[in-house]
Amino acid sequence: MKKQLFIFLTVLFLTGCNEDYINLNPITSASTERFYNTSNDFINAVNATYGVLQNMYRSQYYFGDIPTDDALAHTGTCINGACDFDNFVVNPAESAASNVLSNRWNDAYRGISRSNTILDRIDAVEMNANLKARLKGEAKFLRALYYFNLVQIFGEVPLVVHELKTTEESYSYGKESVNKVYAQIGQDLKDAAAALPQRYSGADVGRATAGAAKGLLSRVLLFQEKHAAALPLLKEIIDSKTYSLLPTFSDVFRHDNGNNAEILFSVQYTKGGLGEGNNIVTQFAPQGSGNAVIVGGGGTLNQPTADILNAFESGDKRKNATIATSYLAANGKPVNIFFVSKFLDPAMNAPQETETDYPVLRYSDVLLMYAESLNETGNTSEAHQYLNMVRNRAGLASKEGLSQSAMRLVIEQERRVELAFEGLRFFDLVRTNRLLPVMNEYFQKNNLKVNGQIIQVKDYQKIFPIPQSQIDINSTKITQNPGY
Amino acid sequence: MKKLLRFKLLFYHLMKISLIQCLLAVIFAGASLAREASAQELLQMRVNLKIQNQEVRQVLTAIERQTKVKFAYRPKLVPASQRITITSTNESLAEVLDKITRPLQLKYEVVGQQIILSPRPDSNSSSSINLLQRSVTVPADRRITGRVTDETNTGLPGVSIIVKGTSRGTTTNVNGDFDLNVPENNPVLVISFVGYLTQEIVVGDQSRVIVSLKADTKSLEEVVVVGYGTQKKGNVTAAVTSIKSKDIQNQITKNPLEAMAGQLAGVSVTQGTGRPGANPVVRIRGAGSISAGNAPLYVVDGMPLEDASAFTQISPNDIESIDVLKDAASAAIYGSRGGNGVVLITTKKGKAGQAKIDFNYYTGIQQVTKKIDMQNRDQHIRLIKDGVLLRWTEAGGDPTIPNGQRIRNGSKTNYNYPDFYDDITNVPDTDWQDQVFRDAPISNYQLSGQGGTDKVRFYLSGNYFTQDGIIKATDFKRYSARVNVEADLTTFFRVGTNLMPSYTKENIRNTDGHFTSGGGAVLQLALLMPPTIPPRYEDGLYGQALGNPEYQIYAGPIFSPLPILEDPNYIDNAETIRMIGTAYAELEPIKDLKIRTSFGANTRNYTENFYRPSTVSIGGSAASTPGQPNPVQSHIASNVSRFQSINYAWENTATYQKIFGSIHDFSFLAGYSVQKTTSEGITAVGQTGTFENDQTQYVTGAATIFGNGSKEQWSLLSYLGRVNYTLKDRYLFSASIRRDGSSRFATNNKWAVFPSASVGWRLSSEPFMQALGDFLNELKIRASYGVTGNFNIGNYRWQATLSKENYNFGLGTGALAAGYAPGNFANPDLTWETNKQTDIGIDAAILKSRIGFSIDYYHRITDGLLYSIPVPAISGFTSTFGNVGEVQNKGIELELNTVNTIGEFKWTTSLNVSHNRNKVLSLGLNNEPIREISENTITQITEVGQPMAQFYGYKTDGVFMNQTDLDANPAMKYNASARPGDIRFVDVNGDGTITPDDRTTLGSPYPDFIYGVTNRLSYKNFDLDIQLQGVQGGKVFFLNSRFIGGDRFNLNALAATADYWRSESEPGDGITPRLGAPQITAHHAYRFLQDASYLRIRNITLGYNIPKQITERAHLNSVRIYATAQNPITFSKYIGYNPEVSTNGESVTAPGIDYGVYPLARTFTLGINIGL
Repeated sequence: MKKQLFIFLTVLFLTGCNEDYINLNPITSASTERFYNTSNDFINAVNATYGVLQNMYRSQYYFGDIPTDDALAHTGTCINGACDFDNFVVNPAESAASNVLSNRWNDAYRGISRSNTILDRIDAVEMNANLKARLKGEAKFLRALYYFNLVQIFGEVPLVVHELKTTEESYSYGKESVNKVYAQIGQDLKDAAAALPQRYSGADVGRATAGAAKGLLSRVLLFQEKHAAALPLLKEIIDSKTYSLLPTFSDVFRHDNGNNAEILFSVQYTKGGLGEGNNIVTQFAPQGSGNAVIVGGGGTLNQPTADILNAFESGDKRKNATIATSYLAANGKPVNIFFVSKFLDPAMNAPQETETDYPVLRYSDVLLMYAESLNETGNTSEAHQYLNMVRNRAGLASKEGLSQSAMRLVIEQERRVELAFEGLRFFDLVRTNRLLPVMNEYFQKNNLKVNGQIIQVKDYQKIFPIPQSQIDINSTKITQNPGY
Repeated sequence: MKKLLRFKLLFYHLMKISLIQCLLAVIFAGASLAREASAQELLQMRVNLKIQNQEVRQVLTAIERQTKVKFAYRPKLVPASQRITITSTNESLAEVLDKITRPLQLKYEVVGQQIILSPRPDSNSSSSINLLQRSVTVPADRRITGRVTDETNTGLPGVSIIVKGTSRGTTTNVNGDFDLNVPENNPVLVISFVGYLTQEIVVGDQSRVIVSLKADTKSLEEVVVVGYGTQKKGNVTAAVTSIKSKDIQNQITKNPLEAMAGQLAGVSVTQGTGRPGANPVVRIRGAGSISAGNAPLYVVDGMPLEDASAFTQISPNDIESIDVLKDAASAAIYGSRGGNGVVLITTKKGKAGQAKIDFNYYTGIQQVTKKIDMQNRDQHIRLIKDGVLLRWTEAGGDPTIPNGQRIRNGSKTNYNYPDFYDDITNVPDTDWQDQVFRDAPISNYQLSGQGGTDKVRFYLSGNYFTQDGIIKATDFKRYSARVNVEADLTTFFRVGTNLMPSYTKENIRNTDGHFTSGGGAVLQLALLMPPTIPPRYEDGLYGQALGNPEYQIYAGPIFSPLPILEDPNYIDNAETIRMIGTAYAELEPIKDLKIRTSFGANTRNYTENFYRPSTVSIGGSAASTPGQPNPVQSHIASNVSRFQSINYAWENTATYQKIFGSIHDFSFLAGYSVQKTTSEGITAVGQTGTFENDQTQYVTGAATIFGNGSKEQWSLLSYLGRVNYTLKDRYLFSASIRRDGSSRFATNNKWAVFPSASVGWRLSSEPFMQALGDFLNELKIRASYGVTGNFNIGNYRWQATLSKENYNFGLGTGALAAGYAPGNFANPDLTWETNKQTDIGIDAAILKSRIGFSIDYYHRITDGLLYSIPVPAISGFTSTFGNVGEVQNKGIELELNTVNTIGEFKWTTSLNVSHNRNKVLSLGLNNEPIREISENTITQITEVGQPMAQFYGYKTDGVFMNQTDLDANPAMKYNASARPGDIRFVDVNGDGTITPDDRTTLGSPYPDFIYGVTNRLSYKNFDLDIQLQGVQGGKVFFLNSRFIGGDRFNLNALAATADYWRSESEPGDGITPRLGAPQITAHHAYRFLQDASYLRIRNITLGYNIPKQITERAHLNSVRIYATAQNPITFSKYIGYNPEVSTNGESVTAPGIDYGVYPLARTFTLGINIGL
């Protein structure tokens, strides 16, 4: 028996497992190596490139609204360093505000790298030529949108237009001049405008269109004060009759009315627990309101100032569609507080999750950009017509016979109320060189102080600091913006 | 796994077979060197025996194997089936034969190679066998009876009893009883038994002798468990430390790991949280890894576990010993998993002999060790009034406008306090901590039975442990059992199995962290809730600020923690069913060669159920405020998650142990092992907003249910070998090697080799040291070096995988559009972390072994740290995994054991002290420091040249008391507009201004040293254990100060911040700044960065053994009653609950942070042990 047992155990002992035993592959996720091979892969890849927008635009109000006379950071809690944006004391290193900067930077480049990979690899894959052209157009549109975000917020940034295959490569890029970045954005948007369809149908509605590319390019040109170059693009959009102003202003932002006739491009959100919901506009509802305003309550983020409330002319239908000044508490008592009501989703049923899209480019913006471009190119009289289209829809009387300089201010005012809380005011003031006079007057007038001194915006604050983390990683190539 | 033998595989096997053959050939060659010897030579041959309660014939067979002699005897005349116990270490055959034959009244003679045994003709004793033979007895003798027991009064069978100076003797029977005829002239009995101290008893005129043998605690005889085997402690050349069941049994804890705290040098056990179901953080010789985990490898009865999670399922009463392999020489046998040390748990096994049943029960009460001193109603109201006015004026408001009429942006919010704060007579003064804490019962029931014969031994136990948490609604219950059976099927074949099924259920509430996390974290909520709100209103509704317009000054998301803790419909529990099972077979095909195969499995099924009813508040939305009594459907949430893991290990070893020429003690170990783990988790989530009511309190109550899943595997394929060699009992040498192949290692580094070697010199065994006699009983110096790995680098980490990022398109509300993008860079070079450790140690025992100590110095370098290297975000990723970085740990450990008194009053002391110094040698690609930002408030920095996780930020020095102070210290102003009452910053770099360059390291979270002292006293039937444990040095950061640090006007605050700077004439305590002083990152840090030193009385146990006379009347073997105080007192200056707190658990880059963590309990219990 001893012998048999010995043989048995010896056999057991020597019955090994071979090397395959230790070769295991991920079960729940696919490998990158087997991707980017079919047209469907590229559609998925482009979708993921749009996907970055959802997170990125959740912080748009930090840049576009909070640092302006439109909005206040929440007085009590200063979520994510919002007060620093409000008070022009954004610190790029290790502050809550620096996370907002980092997230914006990282998101934009995540989108850019996805676009780059698609554009580098798509030509080698066989697919329907129209589809291929469209996907390339979408990738270029998105790359341009991400770069425009970067250059507006941070100024000079690294310009990467190809897939980076190793980490080493990513250390070789330094900051590139603003002009070069704009040149790339311009080229991408021209290519996109040529490649993209005028409109989509069914489940593709919401993708970038030729009109969106032209409209975004116009905005980019205006930022560079190239009004003449923008004029024909804006004219094309208007003449295409693809877009129109909705009769009722509040319908533009209705949760169940995404991608309506007034929208050229918006960030898409949808509810239903899919992780695609918009959690930030719900936070605009008042803090402590329980379920009285929306399910789950809000945080009084991006709180309207008295200044913007007073900026609405009397009779402006947009006022009540944009700002609420009170709500009824659960116990039936009214509570007075200003809050943004523009994006409220009454159909919301789960806290923090609304399906309201966040507009990036609307037709009224196109009309006002066109009016502005006309005015700046000396055609003030024709500008009135487009300005008044926007005013009339809001229930306001037409403006007549304005001078060029008066027209400038009227357009500024009109953009302020029409596009309030859409993350544009700060950049409008920057491009028209009005940031310092408007804001410094506002701070003075309202006696707004930080550390006991009235806040004073300085010229370098037209752009934000580069996140310190990116400088720390690659300090030989990336330097901080002057002034910070 | 067994695949058809392909050609390649066949070749592979042939290679292995020939390797084993080579090994066997060497062994047999050694055996055949023995030659014929003369009678004298035969009797001088050295014999090593350690035989317990075996038949004489088996003992003789054992001697035959060692010496090549043959025994001959007539079975009728020689009591060959008599059971005896014998131990001999390197004794001559003659000595051994004397030991065997004398008690049995036998004689022996050598004839050639044979030894013939026969009865001694002049025998006049009364050994049991001779009684049977009715031998003649000398009339002058008298007969005595007696019993020999161990310290627990259990009878010891097979004990040798000899009348001193004679050859008379006997052995005890299975119950420990004996009878013996002794001469009248003042006989003395010599009573000896292996593992116990030999005793001499003067019989006097007693007719019955009761002897209680003391276990031989002489360290040399102790056996320590090492990887894949055991070793005599005296021969150990590596740093191994152990505790035994007696060190664990008094601890009132469900968790064996907690019981180790303060008892082992070099082993730090930190109870960062008091949550009933939590595990402590265990570190052996510091932390070497930044992100691959620093937990040791846990091995239970030979089965390597994946993590420490099993220890909440194992009853501490079932543990026989815990052995910790600290250095690389001992841990290298576990190769790629030994890098952080190895903890070997051995559970209790049955012993041959009388069946024994033990019942152990204790019950008691737990209380929170400490409450945080918060502001009371009056202090709080003053803070709110001052703060609101300040905020109003800072926002440009006119200070003359009275409260109630301050309106900005159409809102009164934030600028007005509740009107009734002006007349506080009816305002409550609630202590919210009292509302969440409670006195909580704890009980433990353990019933165990053991016994067996020399052929089959068993141990069975059942345990029920129940503990309510000191925070309401939390509790923990465990039902566990053990079955251990070992059987010697033949003299050369043994099998055994060990099964440990268990079921635990824990009721959990979200207690820790940010007050809004997970729908509301009750500890911070209790700290933040204003004292001016009652727990409940008269109508029974919960007091809330949220949703109550009168309290609009208060931050929206805070709400009463009570519904979470008291609502009967709230469900949050975790259930675990676990089975750890091993089975083995061991064959001894030839003498001294043991081949063992063992299969172990550890399966775990974990289910967590969560249901939050509509009546419970969530952040931002309160339920049950006055005027809002209705439930809120949108608050309903439910999910269920299940997790299953199956971990199996199949280990095969061959051990050959032999002494050659009586001075060369060799042992070889060769082995092969495979291990694989598959874990899978599934979660179902009911979408909030789709629950209609509280009727179905499960995820199915939702109209829409989402699911998710995860599945991972890892596998390990290993070859291992070890050789131990001892020359003349004093020159010790050991070497081991292991080769691991792992699924976790990337293609370019699939296999790793981990070697180690160690040497030792027992000076005390040298002839020239014998002159020291009883002064020096043991002195050994040893040194070791080895390489171990840390393979906790995650599954599939080196592979580039796609990540999902969806979007949605379409008109109206939109529909999902699937998106995929690369999730990370691939790294085909990713590999294990490597530890290289040197250890030098001394073990000594002096003064009749009354003082024993061990000192170790170690130096450990961890290289190739798994590291999430930050990369420029322009790559599309923010980080990538690589192996870069190096950390050093070096330290000194001391263990000291003293026997202070002996005799009736016994007192022993064990002391251990360890010091570890951690230092980062390199990091990442460019030594870029790792900065940890916790809740935007404090930064810890891990940088080269410093220990990990140094607290980092601005150093501050009180506040500017007045304008003169301000003017005198311009360099301490944070900015130009600083004013009296602001914080004084220290201008660290002396450039006259405060800039980010003035940030500096502010202290280390790691202590200078840790220590533990156990005193064990006994007098007659009383015993008293006092265990102390402490930590000296190190800092802890009270991050709760982010909210309660006194600068929020919408929350409650620490009482310590009530005396803030109000004016030059009311400057306060000098460290609390004015309200509204500028907030900058980490400015709180210095003030709330506190000394983490503490000294804790960890355990006091007073026991009483009820005298035998009484217990026997109740037909009980033994009864001990005892009272225990666990954690009764902690001496600490820390402001929070527990100075060893850690919000971030196992993290080594952000330890020592207190952001609301379940506090520790102090426990008082009464218990009883009954031996049936």
